[in-house]
Order: sequence, then C-alpha cells, then structure tokens
Amino acid sequence: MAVEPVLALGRVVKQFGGRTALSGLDLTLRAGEVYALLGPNGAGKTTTINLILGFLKADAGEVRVCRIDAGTDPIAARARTAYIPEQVALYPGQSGLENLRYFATLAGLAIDRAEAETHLAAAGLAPEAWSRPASGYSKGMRQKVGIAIALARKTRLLLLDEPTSGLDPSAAAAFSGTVRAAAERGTAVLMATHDLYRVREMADRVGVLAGGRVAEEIDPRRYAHTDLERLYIARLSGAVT
Amino acid sequence: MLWRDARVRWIGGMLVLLLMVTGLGAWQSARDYGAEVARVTAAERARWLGQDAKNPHSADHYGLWVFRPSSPLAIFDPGTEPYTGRMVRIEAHLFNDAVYRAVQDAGPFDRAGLSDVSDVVGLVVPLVALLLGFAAFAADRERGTLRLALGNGAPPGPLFAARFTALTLVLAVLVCLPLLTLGGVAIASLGTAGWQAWPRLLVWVAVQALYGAVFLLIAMIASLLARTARGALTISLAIWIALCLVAPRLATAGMEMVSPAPSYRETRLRIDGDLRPHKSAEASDARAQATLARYGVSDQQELPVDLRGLIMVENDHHAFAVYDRELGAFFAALAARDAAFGWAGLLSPRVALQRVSEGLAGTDFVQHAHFVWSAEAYRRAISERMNAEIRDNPQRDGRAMLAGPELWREIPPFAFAPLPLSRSLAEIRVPALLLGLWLALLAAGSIPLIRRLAP
Repeated sequence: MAVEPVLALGRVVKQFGGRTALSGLDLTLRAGEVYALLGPNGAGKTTTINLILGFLKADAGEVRVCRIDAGTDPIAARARTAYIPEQVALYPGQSGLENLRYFATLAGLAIDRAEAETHLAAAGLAPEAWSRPASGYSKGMRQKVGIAIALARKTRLLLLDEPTSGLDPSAAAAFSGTVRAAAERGTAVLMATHDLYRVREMADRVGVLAGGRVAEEIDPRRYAHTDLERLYIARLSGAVT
Repeated sequence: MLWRDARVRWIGGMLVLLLMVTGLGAWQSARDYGAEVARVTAAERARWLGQDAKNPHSADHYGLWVFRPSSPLAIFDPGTEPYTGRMVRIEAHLFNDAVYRAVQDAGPFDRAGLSDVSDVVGLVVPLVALLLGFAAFAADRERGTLRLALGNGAPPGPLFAARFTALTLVLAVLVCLPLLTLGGVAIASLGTAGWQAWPRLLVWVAVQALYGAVFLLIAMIASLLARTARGALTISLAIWIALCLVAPRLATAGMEMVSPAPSYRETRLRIDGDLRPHKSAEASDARAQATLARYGVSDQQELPVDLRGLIMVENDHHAFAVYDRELGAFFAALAARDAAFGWAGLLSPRVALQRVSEGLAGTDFVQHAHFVWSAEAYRRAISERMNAEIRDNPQRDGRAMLAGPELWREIPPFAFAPLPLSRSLAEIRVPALLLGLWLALLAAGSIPLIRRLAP
C-alpha cells in the first residue's frame, strides 16, 4: 500500500499581477524525506512556502498538507506544520526560553521549563543565552530559537526558508544534524535554500525551481559539491534559455 | 506580560490619574452642594414653620424653595443638571422655572472641555483603548513575530480572542476600578435616598467598559488591516476623530434640523394669553355671580363657604389645566427629542453612550422633567390646602381669616422620589441596544479579517 504523502502540490499556479511566480508546480514529499528546493532569488521558493502555509492562495492547482487543502483550510494545515522563516523574529524583551514557551502557548502547546530547555539545547543555543533578553541575540541565535520552536511542535511537516542563512559553520553543521534527526523520526522536511553545501549534507532529493516549476529533480548524493553546483547553474541557464 | 509594557503602565497611569482627579473634584462639589442644600432646606422649613399668623393665601404667596437632590452618580455625569437648574421657588399661582444652573458657577477647568468623568470616558478612554489595541497584530506583522506564530500553528481566532480578552481586562481594570472606587465613595458619602445607587453604579460602569471594548475592537481591526503599526495607529486615530469628535456634532446639528426645539418663550406667551383673560375683574365678577346663582343666594354672606376661597380654587384649577396642557406639551416635545436623539447612536458609539450614561446617572432630561413636575405637584398641594382652608372657613363682615403654625405644619417637607432604575432603563433602551449593536457588528466584521490573517 502506498504511503500517503505528507505534502502534495499539484499543478500549482500563482501569479502576482502580470508576473507568473509558479506555473504548474508539482511536488510530493513523504514522511522522513528531506526535500531541498533550489532556485535563484525570485524563482518562487518563498511563494511555495507561503502557499503551503496558506498565507497565499493558489490561482490554480492544489496544495495539500496531510490531505488537508491548505487553500481552503489553512489553519488546519498549519496545525500540522512547523516553520522556520529566513529571518526569525522574536519578542525582544523576552528571553529565548520565554519566547519558546510563548510561541508554543500560541500554538496551543503547554511546555514546561525543562522541556523548553531540552529543545533549546537540541537547537544548539548555548545555555548561558537561554535566559538573556532576545534583544541581544545574533541572527544565528534567533535562528536557533526558531528551530527550538519548530522542534517543540513535533509536527509531520517542517518548512525551512533559507534555514542556514546567518548561521556560523559549526551551527550550520549542528543544524544539519538536527534536521536529519527530525527526518529520521518521520518528519517530512521541505527547505528552500541557496546553500548547495548543506543541501548535499541534508537533502534526500533536490528540486531545481526554474520557470515557475521544478525543472529537474536531483539525487544530491550522486554528485560532489562542485558537480552539484555546476549542474544547478546549467539547469538554471537551460531554463532561462 | 502586558503589565511589563511601559506603554501600558504610562497610558494606564495617566488615565487612572485623570479619572481620579476629575471624579474627586466632582465629588467634592457634590458634597458641598449636598451640604448647602441640606442647610438651606432646613432653613426654608424653619422659615415656613416660623411664619406669623396670616391669611393662608398670604402664606401661599410667602412660598419656599425646593431643591432637586442630585444622584450620587452625577459626579460621573452631570448630564442636563448644569443647564436645567436644581431649585424651584414654590409660590401661589406660578409654575416657576428651575434656577441655579451650575454652568453659571463654572470655573476655567470646566470650560477646558474635560470637566467631568463622562467626558474623560467618552473621549480619553477610546483613545487609551486605541493606543492599547493598535499594535495587537500590526506590530507583530512589522516585527516578523506574526509570521513565526502563524507559521507554527497559532490559530488566528483564538489568538485574536486571547489578545482581545487580555487587552479588555487591562482596560477594564484601568477604567472600572477607579470608577467603582469613586462611585463607592460617592454612594457612601452623599445622599442616595431613592436612587438605587449601587445597581445604577454597576450598570453604569459596565456600560463604560462596553464602550471601551468597542474602541478596542476598532483598534484591533485596524491592526488586522494595516501592514505597519504606524498605519494601524493612523487608521485608529482617524476613526476616533470621526466617531468621538465629528459624529456627535453631526448628530446634534442633524437633530436641530430634523426636530427643532420648541420655543419656551412662545409657550410662556401662550400660557400668559390663556391666564390673563381669566384673571380680569370682569371675569372674576362673572364667576362670583355664577357661584351665587349656583348656591341660589344673592349675597356672598349667605354662602356656606367663603366665596373668595372658592374662586381661588376655581382659578387655580384653570391655571393647572393651562400649565398641564402647554408645559406638558413643551416637556413632552423635549423628551421626544431626547428619545429621538437616542437613535443618533447609529452614527457613533459616543452618541449612544452619552444618552445611556446620563440616563443611568439619573441626570437626564426625563429626571429633570420629573423633578419639575414633582415640585409643581407639591406647589399645587400647598395651594389646594391653603385655598381649602379659606373656602371652608367663611369670614363675615369683611374680617380676614388668619391661620397659624398648625396649618403650616400640615404641609410636609418636599420629598423628591427619583424615577426608578427600571424607568431609566426603559428610557435608554434604544441607545443601549445601539451600543451593543456596535460591538456585535464590529465583532462580526472582524471574523473574515481574522480568518484571512496573514503576516
């Protein structure tokens, strides 16, 4: 029996005014899979994530999260999704620990301090920063609190928008481990990124987004970093020409 | 979390300070007025009882002053009181106007425009509600926390409800606690006889909280719509100007156009026109002759009653009928205008609140009219008793009838029984429903915006 996909996008079209951002995007993601959506700026990566989250509505096609139509019932779809935006914004007057517990509360989760500390530790935030106001956090530290929030939610789908942007190399490496661990627990992960190095480290499949659709799917483990980069550029050039 | 916000602490502190300063000032004035009324009422009673022996009609002309006791909630909303007068001179034949209008004694602070608590609630509480609520979602949207929250499963409906509830609680504490404290002090220290003061206070405060919630909802809707906190604040302030400053003036101007106030001067001229012919020497002679004929005698000495007393009874009954018809119509027209003004609450919650507030405070025109007619009923009772004393004790051979303290004591002190709360509630039902309608419509209007909430 076929396993039901966690995320399924079918022939999704999205236009902004006269500009077509997505022109028939198909994408399927199963439990335990890490899918990297590669593409230049403006290729439609963030639009895809916004459609999955129900922040935007597709002009055509469908977006389903755990069989729920994200276009008609975005709240139910989001209840099954965790999300780390490119720029994680926190309440500056609260500590990382307080932010984590507050965002969890907003999502209807009550987590105690010990559990919150476990998630912050798993996300790689140094313990001495847990109780400091987030106003003094670097971008990487805020990103880690975002990761902790996503981990606390224990959802079937994790969406990452440029997740390693702003992380130092060791934090990015730790993050890769965290994502792989989540996938091994059965979480489906979709990440929009430019970071080919981390893509090869984390992703099971890579979709090159060009011309508003997945131009090609690649198994990143078959290629070295430099080959992957060359292939990516070639696909983009092909799409343009 | 909200109390940790310096903005909330500052705004809240200033509001509480303003309410307390304004309320305590009004309470001090009410206490002074109450003490003065008690002193003058006692002096008037002593003056009435201490009259020399005299003809009862002279005593009727001797007259006395009666005072309208203020509702303890007048410290919040003086309503029509400063403009309608609070004391009436009771004397034979005359339906006098109420005098002693508080505006005549108004100081510079009163002219500053925020002279009473109802002004503060009507104007400043909406501003505070807007300042509390404008950032509810717009600031999160601008900061990016809304994206993180919604993207991580925060459901917009409960999120909106939780924030609205939290902000409403803050606003309720800031508004209700000072008002309940001030109201409690007023009830404990001022005369409350017949006012049903506690139920009135609780309903009045609840209505003010409801009014604040309307503006909180407006600010939160602006926050749902605007992309930035600054945009939400701009929308909120524009709505505040429209609803709190422009709409009340439009409502007043519209009312004057649609239903102009009846002319008091013309009413008084009509009354004089009706009374004058009845009081002429010819008319009096004709009534005397008719009375003698009715009793079948040719000389008033043969009458079983005093002719002068009888004529005075008839004259007064005629005057009572004229007053009832003319001033009754005048007061009814003003009351109808007041009732119609209640519908102007459709234009703005502030207009609805104004009518509801003064009605619950016991300072609306309906209570004033009730006082005026109560004083008139008291005046008529005195005249009737004095006239009856003359009529039933016929004096012969040109002697004048004299009465003394026993008769004066028969006249009880003036006791004003305010209209009950149930009557006030009936009077304000339209604006009260409109205030509720504002809240309901705003809540209904916010639902699709909440469903579509996006970062």
